[in-house]
Amino acid sequence: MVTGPRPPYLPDQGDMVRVPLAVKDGLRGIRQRLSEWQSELPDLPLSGRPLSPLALAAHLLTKTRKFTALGEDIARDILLRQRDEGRINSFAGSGFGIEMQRNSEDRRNGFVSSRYAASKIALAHFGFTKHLVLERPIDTAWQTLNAQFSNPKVTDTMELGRYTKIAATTLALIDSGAIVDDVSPGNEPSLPMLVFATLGLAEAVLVRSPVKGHEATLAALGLSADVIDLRKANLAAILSGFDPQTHLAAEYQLLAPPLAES
Amino acid sequence: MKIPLVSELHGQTDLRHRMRDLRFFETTFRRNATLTLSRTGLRAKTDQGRLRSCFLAWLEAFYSTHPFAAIDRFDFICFSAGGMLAQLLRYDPLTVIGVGTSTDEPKDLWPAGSAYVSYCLGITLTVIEQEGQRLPTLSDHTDDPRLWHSFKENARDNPDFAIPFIDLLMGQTPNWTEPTLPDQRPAMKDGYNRIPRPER
Repeated sequence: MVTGPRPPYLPDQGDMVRVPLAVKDGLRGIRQRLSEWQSELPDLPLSGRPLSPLALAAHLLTKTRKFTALGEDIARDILLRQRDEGRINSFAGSGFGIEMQRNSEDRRNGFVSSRYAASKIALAHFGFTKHLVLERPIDTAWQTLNAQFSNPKVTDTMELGRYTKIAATTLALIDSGAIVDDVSPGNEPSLPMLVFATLGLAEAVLVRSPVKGHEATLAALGLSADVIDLRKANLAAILSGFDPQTHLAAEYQLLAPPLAES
Repeated sequence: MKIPLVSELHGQTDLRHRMRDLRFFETTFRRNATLTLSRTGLRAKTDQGRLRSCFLAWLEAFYSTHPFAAIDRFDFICFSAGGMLAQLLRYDPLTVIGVGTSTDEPKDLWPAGSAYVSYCLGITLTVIEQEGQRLPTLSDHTDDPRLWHSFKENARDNPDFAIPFIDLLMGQTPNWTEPTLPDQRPAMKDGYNRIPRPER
């Protein structure tokens, strides 16, 4: 009798992809906690004050934080621009709103990195420039969606099928926990809802638009953020109502054509 | 009444579809406001958020009533134009700055309202022309200051009165009691009764 492998199982390729994402998320979390903790420290002037070890340590940390922030800004402006552009460029092509014959791992990587970069841009539009976004939950959402959509149906080629997939992506990302919401008031759509609905609408716009590329993606994200901000009440009603996927797909179908460049 | 957009849109093709494009709507609206208020000493400032809200609200209403276009296309175009004017009055995206002249012309009596009406009429007349429909003669009352005073007061109470107001200017029979219901419009009722039905 042939039996299957017994636990502990060997890690598969998916597990190998998840490890660096988990490490990156962990480091990002630590860095954010550190920056919050450092910003709470008083910036004490050294002259005319008792030089206690705590005051010295606080001063050192504050100065280090300032130099680190400056270094990060320079790196982002000069060195990391190309990387960010690459991530954003793959935004429309790596989503589920478009049918593509591509290496699955390639697409998975594009989906995770582009959704991460686009979430940061959308967060900045809503006034949250330093909010933490985690990549591993985005990857988990991708796996769920990939399994869900791996069985092609006739409706997939239809327009509604495309919007339904984008809506399903939005809902999966909201539920993934990639963006932790600790700022939204109770009666409004939460921050993850706003951000991922923006991403969904931008994807729907880009899928329809003949203009692609970095600038077009940034413009679509900006315009979508503005529109989602104006449609907050509708979004809250859709997401808290019956069958949010169908209604969100209908909302994308309503909004995407007028926003796409004619 | 001055409708500067008609000549501006002369070269544009497929306007009925392009009107559903947000950027086109924003561009043409701003252009019309500038042209309508030119030589009045007034300047218009547009609130983009309100303008977009207005467009999105109109679009939603447009798609929910679109099947009525099959019954009477001309009447549906007038109804949609009235719906857009209603949303413009509701969100009021224009702020008019400066001191104008004191005449009885609509653009002096109510500069923002005049810009909204001229925009909706300009789009409507161009769409009707492109559709190959009969071009309506605008009502003689278009410049009547009494009509404008009355419209301004009514629109303040209920912006949806913009729909019968546009009907009045376009020569359609207005429905003042239920302006937002396309199936209650006299022309739609007539059109519905004209549809041939199979004999039982």
